[in-house]
Amino acid sequence: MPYRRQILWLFAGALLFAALPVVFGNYGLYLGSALCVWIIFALAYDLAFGRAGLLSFGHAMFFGVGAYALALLVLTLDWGFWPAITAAIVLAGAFALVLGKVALQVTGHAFVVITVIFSAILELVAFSQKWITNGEDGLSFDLYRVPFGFAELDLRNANTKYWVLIAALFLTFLMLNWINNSTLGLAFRAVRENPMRATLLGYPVQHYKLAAFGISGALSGLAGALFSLLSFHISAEVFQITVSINPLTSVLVGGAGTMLGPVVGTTFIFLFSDYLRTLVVYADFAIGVILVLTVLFAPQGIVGLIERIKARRRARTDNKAEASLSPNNESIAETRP
Amino acid sequence: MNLQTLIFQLLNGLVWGLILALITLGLTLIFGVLSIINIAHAALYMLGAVLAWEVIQYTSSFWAAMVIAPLLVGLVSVAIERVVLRPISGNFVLSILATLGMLFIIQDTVLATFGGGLQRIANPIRGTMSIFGLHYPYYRLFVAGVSISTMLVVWVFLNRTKYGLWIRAVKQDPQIATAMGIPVSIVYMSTVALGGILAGLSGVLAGPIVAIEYQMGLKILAYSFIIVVVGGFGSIMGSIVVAIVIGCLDGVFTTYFPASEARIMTLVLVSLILLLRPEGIFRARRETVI
Repeated sequence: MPYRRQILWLFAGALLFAALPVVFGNYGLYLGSALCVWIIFALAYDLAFGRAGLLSFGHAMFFGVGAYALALLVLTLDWGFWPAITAAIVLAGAFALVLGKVALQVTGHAFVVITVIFSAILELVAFSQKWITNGEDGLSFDLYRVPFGFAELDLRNANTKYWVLIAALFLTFLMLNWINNSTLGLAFRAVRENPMRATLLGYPVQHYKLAAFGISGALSGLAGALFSLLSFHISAEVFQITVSINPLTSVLVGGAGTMLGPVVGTTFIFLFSDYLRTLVVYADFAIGVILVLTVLFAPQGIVGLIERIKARRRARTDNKAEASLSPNNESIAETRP
Repeated sequence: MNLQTLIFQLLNGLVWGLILALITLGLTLIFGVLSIINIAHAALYMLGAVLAWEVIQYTSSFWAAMVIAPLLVGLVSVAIERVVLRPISGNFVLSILATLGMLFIIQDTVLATFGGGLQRIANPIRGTMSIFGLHYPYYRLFVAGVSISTMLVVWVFLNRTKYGLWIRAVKQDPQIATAMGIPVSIVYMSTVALGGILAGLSGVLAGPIVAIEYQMGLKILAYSFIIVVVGGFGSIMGSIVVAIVIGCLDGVFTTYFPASEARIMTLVLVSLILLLRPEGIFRARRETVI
């Protein structure tokens, strides 16, 4: 995609976000804020899943660590916004590096399973060790003031919070876009598509996988920290495996390994299931159907589907152009066996 | 904490381990033959228990439920294989995601029809037996017996019958099996059917022991995954041994610690094994498939 068009897309997206509260009022504000958090999480998840090919069922761990790190630092040490959110990112990233170091000893099915096991362990710990997490009841905290240059933002104002979240989403998007277009991003792709070849070419495959997992974990921690700011309350439920499945579904439906995929997928799933919940209770049923249909008919997701349709149309017009330009029988002769 | 409690918990752990072994037997079979981690298996276990409850409402016979419910679950399992797994065979990421989708679909279907509340199946065999001076319910011993004999039947089926030989052949090499005239597609289907029946049966057996609800599958999901992997991918003996070990460890730990701490300790111990021996304890060797 040309650079100029990409910027156009970004502006269109920003406009859409700005329009949400205008059109839907307070409800749109709430919806848009939550959407920002889940898109950041999906973008972070896609770095591991879509780019480096690491299917993880354990990203709720990093999301949860980020959320709890922020809450606990604010509650016990009375930290401010910037140090707390930085610490949340760093802690979640470090945690991801440690777990990744262990889990990446194995590949394929075993890796998937080990992320499930780790996640199950941490979920049990979070629900049972009430002296840290306060279990299902959770922790409430206040972190309203965001020093910003000479000014100070007040997060109690839902509008301000919304714009802070949009800024975070924008920065995450830019950063991941930059990573994915850098040589690091290319190396991730090489590691995903052919680990053997990457090894033989001299790439330290293990290090690249770990790097992808670590950065993905750190940004998941950011998403978790921002999530805790949505209602200034978190509980052990952030560690549940369903939280890990959330970005996985979004990324798959939107299109894994693309920049727009996680954004489109999360928006689609989030708005869709939110709409469904107002109608029926059985939103999971719809999510299941969407998952199965995506796997069967559009494994490259919505973005991949659009690209495919575009490519087909382009091919058709190209063929027409070719046919009108060169009305000889050469092409027919070539296709003959 | 006296010796009696320990023995009681150990026996409980053994019975629970045998149920886990029965659940993972189907999972391991499917993994061994189709190379698919079937996440929907947890939902099939739950479906077995729920269908058993429904059948008991109509016939008021546990024994009828024990026959009908597993067969119905087997049918559902075949439908999943035909419609969902067949078109994406060979892609492990997609198969995990598709079976995850099926888990959601089955769970919410049960939620919509069966409801979100807890149900219990009345204990079909009353009475207790005294072992080591404690009263142990007959039904749990019956569960252990059924579990062991089912595993024996499956073993005989796989190792002593023509169809078992087909399954083993496809597991070793589907292409050569095709060349030898084995209907590979039917073998896939019947393996998945058998897996579903085993999941359903274990659901029925667990019914009178645990509470039946639409999310009961999620509780065994992590355990059954671990057992398949630690047991050595596709090794049936391995998964049975690991299931029993996990059940007993859980039993011993719950004697001395609160339930959740006990589970944490079991999971940590087992994942240590997995990291020390990533290929599993019992690696499925090519020549001795089972």
